[in-house]
Amino acid sequence: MTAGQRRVGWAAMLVAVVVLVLLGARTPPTSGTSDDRLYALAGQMKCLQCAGESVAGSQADIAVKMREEIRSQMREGRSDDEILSFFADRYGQRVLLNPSSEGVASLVWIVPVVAAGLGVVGLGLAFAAWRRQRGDAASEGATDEDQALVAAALRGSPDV
Amino acid sequence: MKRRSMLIAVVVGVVAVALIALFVTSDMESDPLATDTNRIVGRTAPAISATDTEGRPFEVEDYRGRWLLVNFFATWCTPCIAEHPELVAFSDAHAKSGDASVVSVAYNDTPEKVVQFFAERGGDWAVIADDRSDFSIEYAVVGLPESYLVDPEGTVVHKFVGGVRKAEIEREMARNR
Repeated sequence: MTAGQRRVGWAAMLVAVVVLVLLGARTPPTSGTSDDRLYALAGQMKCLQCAGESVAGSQADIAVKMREEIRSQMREGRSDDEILSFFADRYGQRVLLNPSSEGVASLVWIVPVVAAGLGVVGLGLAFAAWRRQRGDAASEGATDEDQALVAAALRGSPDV
Repeated sequence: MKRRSMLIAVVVGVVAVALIALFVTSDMESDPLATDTNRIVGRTAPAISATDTEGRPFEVEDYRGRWLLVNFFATWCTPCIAEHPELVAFSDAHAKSGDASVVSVAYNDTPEKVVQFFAERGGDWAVIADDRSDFSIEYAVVGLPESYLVDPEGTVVHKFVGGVRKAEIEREMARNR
């Protein structure tokens, strides 16, 4: 593979990553009274009567009532944060499926980012060390005699 | 190089142990119905502003100076039917002194069925069966029946999950007096 082809490959990969990130970052509406917003909010809350279901996906009484309450608060013009806080204030943080970004629970958000950062730095250091070792080995490996042989071969000497 | 590997291993090990400890100590797996998720206890009782089945206006505020048991129930809920005689006994025991009352708030029910329920099973206290208003979210009700004991100052002092017994209510009143 030539250097040009390699560059095209990297560029294609970069475009693919950017497109995927943009698709993944597509967020539901954060205002209005649409069903998209209602279910996005309900999807962030745990159905406390169910096992492993969100308020969005459950037909339990409490989930139906909570969705009605969310819709009512959306109509009153409350923000997403205000609506989520309303439920957390009454049912506790356990009602929220996304862990809190405060206190010990914030480790859930911080640790992966720190680990990924450390991983990238570690890989960078490892690659640099390997490249340095390979360079040292290459410069150490060619003796004067070796270089004379190579030079003779390039000249087309019959001695080689 | 060996020292660096050791350092990396230690860092990874510490992070792994911290994550395992966080996972083990978290209460993700516990049953929300068995664990009290309610934050209402200790706070001023949320307002219930409604009309009872007799057509009388009802306000929690009007019960300041007396104990009030806010009971969430439904006519279709078997444990609610089972606890009803205990509520009647509690209400009757305090009827003369007037120091404690009950209010029943119907959950996912119809006024007709609620009226019939009380006609059949007794109970001479305010009953809210207004299906246009919902107070269960304000009280953070999770399952039925649930009852909230409000002290004379208007503060919720205890939450009863499941069928309540007269003796339990009396005990909590004595404890929070």
